[in-house]
Amino acid sequence: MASVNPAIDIDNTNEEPGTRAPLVLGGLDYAGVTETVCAPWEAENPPKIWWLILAAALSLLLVLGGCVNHLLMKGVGVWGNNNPAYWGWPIVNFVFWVGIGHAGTLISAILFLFRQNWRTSINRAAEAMTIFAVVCAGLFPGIHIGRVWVFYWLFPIPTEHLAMWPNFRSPLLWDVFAVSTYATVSILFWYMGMVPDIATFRDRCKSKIGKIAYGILSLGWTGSARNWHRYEIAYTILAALATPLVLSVHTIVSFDFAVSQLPGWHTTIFPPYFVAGAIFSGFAAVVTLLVPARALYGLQNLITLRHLENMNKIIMATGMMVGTAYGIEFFIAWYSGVPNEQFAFINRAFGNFWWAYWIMVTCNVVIPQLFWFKWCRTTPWFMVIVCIFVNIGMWFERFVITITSLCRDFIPSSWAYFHPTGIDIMMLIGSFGLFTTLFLLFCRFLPVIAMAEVKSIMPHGDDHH
Amino acid sequence: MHETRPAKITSDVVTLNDGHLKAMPLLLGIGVIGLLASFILSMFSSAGGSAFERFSFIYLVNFCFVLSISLGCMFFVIISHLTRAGWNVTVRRLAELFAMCAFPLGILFLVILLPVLMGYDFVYPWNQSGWSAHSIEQAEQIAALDAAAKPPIEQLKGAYLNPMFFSIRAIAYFLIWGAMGAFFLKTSLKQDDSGDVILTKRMQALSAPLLILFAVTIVFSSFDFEMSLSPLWFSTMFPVYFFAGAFMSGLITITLTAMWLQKNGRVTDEITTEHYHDLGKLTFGFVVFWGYIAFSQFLLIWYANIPEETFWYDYRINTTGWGIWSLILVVGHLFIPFLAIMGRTARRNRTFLAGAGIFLLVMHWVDHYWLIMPQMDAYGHVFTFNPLVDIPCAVGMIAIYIAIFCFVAKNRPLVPLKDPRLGEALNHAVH
Repeated sequence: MASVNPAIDIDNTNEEPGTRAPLVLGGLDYAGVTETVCAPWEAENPPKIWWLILAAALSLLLVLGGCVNHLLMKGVGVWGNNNPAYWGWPIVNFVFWVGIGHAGTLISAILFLFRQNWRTSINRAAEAMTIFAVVCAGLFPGIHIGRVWVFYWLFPIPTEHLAMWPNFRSPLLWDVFAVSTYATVSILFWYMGMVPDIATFRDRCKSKIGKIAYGILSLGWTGSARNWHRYEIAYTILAALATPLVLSVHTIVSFDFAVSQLPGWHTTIFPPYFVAGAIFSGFAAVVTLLVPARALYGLQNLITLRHLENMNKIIMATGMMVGTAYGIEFFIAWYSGVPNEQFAFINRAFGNFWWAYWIMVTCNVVIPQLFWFKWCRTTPWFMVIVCIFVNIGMWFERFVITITSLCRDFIPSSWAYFHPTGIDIMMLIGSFGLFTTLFLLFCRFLPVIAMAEVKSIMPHGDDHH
Repeated sequence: MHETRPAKITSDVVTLNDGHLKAMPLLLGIGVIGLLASFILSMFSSAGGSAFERFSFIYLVNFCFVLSISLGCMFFVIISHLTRAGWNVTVRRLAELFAMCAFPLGILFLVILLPVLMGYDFVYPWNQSGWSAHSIEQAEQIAALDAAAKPPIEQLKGAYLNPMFFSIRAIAYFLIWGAMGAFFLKTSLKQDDSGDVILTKRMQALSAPLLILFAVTIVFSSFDFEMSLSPLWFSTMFPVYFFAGAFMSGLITITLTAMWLQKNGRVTDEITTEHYHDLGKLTFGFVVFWGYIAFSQFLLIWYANIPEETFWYDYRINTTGWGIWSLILVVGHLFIPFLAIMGRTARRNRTFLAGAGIFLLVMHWVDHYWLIMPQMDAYGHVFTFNPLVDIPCAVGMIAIYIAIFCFVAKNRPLVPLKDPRLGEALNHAVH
């Protein structure tokens, strides 16, 4: 078993103007980086805590499976969805998970184009998390359609016997395109970026099955100059393709709401506001996962405090963008003079669901302000707490938008309070089981950090350009 | 591999070198003549309203055009410090100077503000009680709103849209922008002498709260200066739209100014093709961002088809003249530049990038024209474009703006001399 680096945090968050703080600490050289990243994978047995979390995650996954089965047997009536809240928790969960699935591609694509070197230590795990979040997201609309066995009707597939097309004017169909494109490109990007590292695993793997599996996955990577040349071109092109996708997915998701005429849903700032919120929640999820992961696997020298601090700054910035959007919405609701709009927003803050609204504001706008204090954004255990609050807040944001507006539609006689069922709650919790299971398997079997990319930004790596 | 350049300024001339003394009187002369010519010619303009109304509108278009450039540059400065950017140090001073120009622009705004305070409704219809009764186009919506809501729409909006509060806000914006511009420019100039690292740290520390202040002012100033021209209309996206165009035009102005200075033998060594390439990339990014925001705003309003919102677009699309203008905007502000500056070769070619930049600035002007001018004839169905009035005004305003730039720049260094990250910018190269 390779030695694990001592789990201490070196403070590299102070950057004197004119110098750049190192992003790889502990005096690691190329070999050191490889050893550090490979150590947890080469360990004969994963740490006990890994098994414990996996057991818990699998239990939750079982709960999810049971719920889905129950739903398929009984129909969507097992959810709390009802007139007038035809859209209930499933949509809330869908938007929540899609939102989380935004950080990975932002880190890999947009931060790559902005030449933010610090992205290299976190992009792999963030991308993996993105894909797993999209899997969770895809589940909810997938089982919401009622007749799951004909899910392929979602796609415009020409058939002879099925004389109908999906409604091209519906943003729900655009969602199908947007999310499936996003999932495809994200997986492609993630996998392509991983090829050199999988080759490293192939070369170091001791078991026969492992050698074959990683051998196939590494696509015959030799590490030759030609390989690298192609790799870098492909990476840049994929980054450029993925960049508009970071914006498009949540833009389309926001269209689901904003193209309607429902007060509280129809407001033009929704697209950028949703994108900012998605990045906000996505980064919070990355921090929540990486802080324990780096402690468990001794990755403090690669995922340094500086990486965490940078992410927390982005969380703070996007959180304030979201807060600004809340403010603009409120102002314009008043300014518009449209009584329905005014009512919708007053109802949000002071109506039946006031508690949800204030949970949202507290978690999304107030709590991230703690990151103004350096201690708060550089203390790992503390930032995890803040980030968990952020994700609670972002779930409630979707809840507030979806439920409060629907429960006060244009026909007062149908106004009602929304009650989730036990299945609703268990499915949300269960989806965390799916997410966590996938992430734990990723941590065990694939390179958690993009070794090759980290090496490219190390100071002595510059000579090789 | 490339040689590492020492972090030293090597150009012979890094200031305007008294060029501004010659240029300023000339520019101010052109400015005054241009504005006067526009005013006089607007008397002969047949499109409805008084001459002063016609002139005020085109004046506001040009004012918002130059103001947005300054605000774009201010954002450039703030975000550079916030992200501790190193690559753009050598062009940051230009942005600082243009950002500082926002404050003197406040004086030019008096042409709009004073009539508002005196109770005229040349530009802002909400300044005259009974405006809602005059808007024949939206009579139905207003009647419906008045019937449904208490207080009636005019009274409700009067709490925000009244001359006193409007003026207080306008003055506050210019004071805030002035203070922010002065802070960054003064601190940066101070560093030219001392090279003190503390100054960079101070600017970094303050950039975060100042960005919030910037966001608040740009949100409400865009509502006030442009959106309230149609007091009934509202869109939460409007500030983002304004910002997208502003930042794009700011980037272009920095690029064009740097090119012009280099052509005239100033700051020759410090700004390289790499910087232009990156500025071009950012410009491209914000061309697309503008398109994204413009399209999203349009799509949501078109799709929901609520009369309170659609009339604004309806008029701009379905009126003779304005329909074509809208088309020019979409094609010229998005499609053409999208294809033109997507390629790496195009962005690294200075002549080409300069041409694309000038074209985009024209389109940015077209954009403000499209936002503002239709409100002048909204009730008369007349397409207002009149080059005899509009072009002298644009030339005049831009000349005055450049004069302001000269006044702000004086003989100050046009590049930070001792910024701690100067070396990074000088050695900026993309591997």
